[in-house]
Amino acid sequence: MSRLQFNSRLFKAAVKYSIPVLLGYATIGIAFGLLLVNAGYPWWLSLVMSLVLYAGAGQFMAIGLFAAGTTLWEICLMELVLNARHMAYGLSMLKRLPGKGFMRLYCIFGLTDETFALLSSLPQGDDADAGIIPPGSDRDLFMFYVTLLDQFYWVSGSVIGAAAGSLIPFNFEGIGFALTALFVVLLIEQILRVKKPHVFVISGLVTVLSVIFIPGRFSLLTAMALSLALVSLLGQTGKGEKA
Amino acid sequence: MNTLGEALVFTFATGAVVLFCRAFPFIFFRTGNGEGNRGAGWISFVEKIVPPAAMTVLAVSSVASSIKANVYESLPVLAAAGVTAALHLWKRNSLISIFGGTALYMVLKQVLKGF
Repeated sequence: MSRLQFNSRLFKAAVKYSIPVLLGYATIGIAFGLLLVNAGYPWWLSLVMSLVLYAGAGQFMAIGLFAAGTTLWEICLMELVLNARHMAYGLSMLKRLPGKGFMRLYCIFGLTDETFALLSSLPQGDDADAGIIPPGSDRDLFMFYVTLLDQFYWVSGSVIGAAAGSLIPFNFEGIGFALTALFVVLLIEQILRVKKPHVFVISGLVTVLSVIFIPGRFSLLTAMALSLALVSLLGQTGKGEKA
Repeated sequence: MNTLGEALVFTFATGAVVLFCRAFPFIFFRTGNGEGNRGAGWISFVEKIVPPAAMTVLAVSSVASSIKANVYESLPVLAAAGVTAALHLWKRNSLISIFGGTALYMVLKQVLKGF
């Protein structure tokens, strides 16, 4: 446990390295807090969710599902599909996260999209650390600090947003669109990154049909299941044609 | 709408689900042979297909279901979603896109109330 001793030089380097996430998490966290309070829940639920669940898109989606009066199994299934991408993050960080103990466990718990982006883009090899990690210092402790700081930014933002939402008398009607906007942004990022048009076309069509023909909140779950099934089926034949 | 008690229980349950996703490779590929062929096909499906499909479903359904719920919603929702997308393609900055789109939506809702 001696390695968990506070190292202010390393901590400052971690703050500097994580500033982009501070900007993103503080503002999106505030939007999350506003949205949750606007949906009729107390400010401290925002604190609990950001401490326990700690998944940006997952928390935004949870508000929508809470508002729709979801069941436990549905919400767990939806979160499983939404967060399955995190399995791939862990896979590529297996050998890079801190070796063992509490630091490793916490870094696994806190491996969000943004934290993964920071930790995975750390240069590898001791010579390459200059400029980001002070030379000769503990790389594991640095990754732990970055993970901890990221969650601190997220928790602070979401509590500030929730407090503002419950204290300031302002008409927040329409703030719920932030959720749709977030999904549109994440979709565009996927389109720019993944060069597989058939995935987007199939999932999009299936979703429109589900929303039209399947009542209420079951449409989302149906769309999710059908898209994954269809894409994996048709993807196989696509691969065969190319090969 | 779920009660506060339900919301709390769901938070802890979904927290466990998310933690499971993040811990999965560390539990099942402990030796560090993540590149090995055990489960490799499945992992590459999770890595390559699930994120784009899930995001398409979420984005399309949140636009389509608000249009379906109320046809008069179509104009503000489509306009704001379009502006969000355009801002993002232009600046590639999530904050600008999300806040720009949401602000436009809130303004449109207020303006259209007058008619």
